[in-house]
Amino acid sequence: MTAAPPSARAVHFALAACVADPRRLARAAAQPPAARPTALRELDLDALADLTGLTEKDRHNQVRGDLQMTFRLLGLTGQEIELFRDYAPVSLQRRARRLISPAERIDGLVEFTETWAGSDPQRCLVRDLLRYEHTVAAFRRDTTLLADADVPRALEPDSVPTKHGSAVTVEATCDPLQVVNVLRSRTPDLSRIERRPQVLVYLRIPSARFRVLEVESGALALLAAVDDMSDVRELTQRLLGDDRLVQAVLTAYQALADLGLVTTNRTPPSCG
Amino acid sequence: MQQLTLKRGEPVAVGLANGPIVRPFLEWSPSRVDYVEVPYEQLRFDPTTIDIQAQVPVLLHCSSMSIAGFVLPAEKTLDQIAGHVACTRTPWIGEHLAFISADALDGGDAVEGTVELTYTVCPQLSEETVQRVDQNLKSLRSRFDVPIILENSPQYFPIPGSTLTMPEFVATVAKQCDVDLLLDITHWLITAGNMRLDSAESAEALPLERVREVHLSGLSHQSGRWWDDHAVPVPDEAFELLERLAPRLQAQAVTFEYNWAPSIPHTVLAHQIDRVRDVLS
Repeated sequence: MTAAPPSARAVHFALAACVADPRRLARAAAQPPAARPTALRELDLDALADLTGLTEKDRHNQVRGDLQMTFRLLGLTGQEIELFRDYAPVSLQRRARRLISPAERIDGLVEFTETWAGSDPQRCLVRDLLRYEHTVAAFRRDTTLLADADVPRALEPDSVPTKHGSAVTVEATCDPLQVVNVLRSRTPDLSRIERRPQVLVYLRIPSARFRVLEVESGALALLAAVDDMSDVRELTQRLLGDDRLVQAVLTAYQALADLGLVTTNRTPPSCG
Repeated sequence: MQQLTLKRGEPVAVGLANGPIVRPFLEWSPSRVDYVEVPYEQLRFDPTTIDIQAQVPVLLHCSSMSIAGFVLPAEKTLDQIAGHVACTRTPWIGEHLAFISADALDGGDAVEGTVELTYTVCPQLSEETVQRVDQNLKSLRSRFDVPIILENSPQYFPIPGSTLTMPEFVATVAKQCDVDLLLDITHWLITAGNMRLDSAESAEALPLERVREVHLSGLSHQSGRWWDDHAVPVPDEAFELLERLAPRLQAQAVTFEYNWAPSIPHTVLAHQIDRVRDVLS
């Protein structure tokens, strides 16, 4: 004997409840079909999960202006539904905490993709581009006036390096600016995207210009050590445990100063 | 305040769904757009949206009436929609043939309150739903001075308990409920693609003479299915289907839905608007 088909009302509730709460959908999917509510037994739960991805994507329409290239990449690589479907349960928790401003929505996506990307090359590309657009958007929103920096000059062992402007350092699998250039084409050729590990610094400097700089991986430690109080000799001791190596560290900080990443707030002692 | 006046037999009006692209495009080409379609939900969230009416007439759209559902909207919602009907002087209200809220059955295995969604969902395609639409329309029509027209949903997967195909469902609703249609060409392509229907043949089974408005938007193919996408250009297939149906269509308005897109090349949109006017002239 075959069971009576589920009523429209029961089906609508089952669909709505699963779309509204992906955790309920996951619970249903974990059950054998016969144990599920009648309205869900004949339903393609994988397709329904994809629909939660579409509705989640729709919630992010307000951040498309800030994430234009990320959305373009997601569309071209067919990862939009997949990303937002996976993100839906996390997003639900964030929405419950009222983290729904455009900036908070982007923060949530960035945070999520850090784990979601894993070592998958396509997902890493999305993560790298998302981080880049997130940083640009955050710099744009940050209306704090940055103090004018000193004119770059030669550093001395007793110079105190200070961070210049706002900088965000990331490890990436591509140069996001090169990816953006590829994506701006009317018919983007994604095979032109160059992939290699690199360390990038996104820098907002007082003139409000935004720069992307590639640095050696050691620069991360040098930048992290800058505390706006220690001079180069003290930093050398902290980084290498031997201040006799100050000349090498000085040269490295000088290279960062030449890139505009650090400046100095102390002049060498004057003679006489 | 500008007002949209549409008459059968006159050249089709072409409009844009309200979104970030609208104001820049109106500045770039003020005379190309006859109206802007504004959803009630946008007006509720940001009442200043109505200011666009100083520049261009407004056509009212809606996703909140849950026409194919079992939970009707709150009285306050209906009062607000009626207020916007009066304020915009819209010739009709375009509403989705879908549901946006649902409640659990008493005695079911999960007795809970009403679930409210932010996105309309394709209903069960059955006689039971048709009857519900009829009942809902009877109760809702008396609230407004203008007709409600119904927009076909995109169908992404088979809905349990369905006994009708989408073409049969829409045609039955139109006939049994005596209601005019908003034909979303892109939703139709999505449904046809996902449910393995011939898009043109199945659309020709519709009472096309009842179509008063047409929607056009983009679509994308991801995770093995076709999806609605209001951020990418309308595909050629949509224009081709519109062209095939044109001899029977008596649509008075065609709306481009690029409301998810932060920007779109003006020349592309201008070309598409001109193409629609050509097809339906």
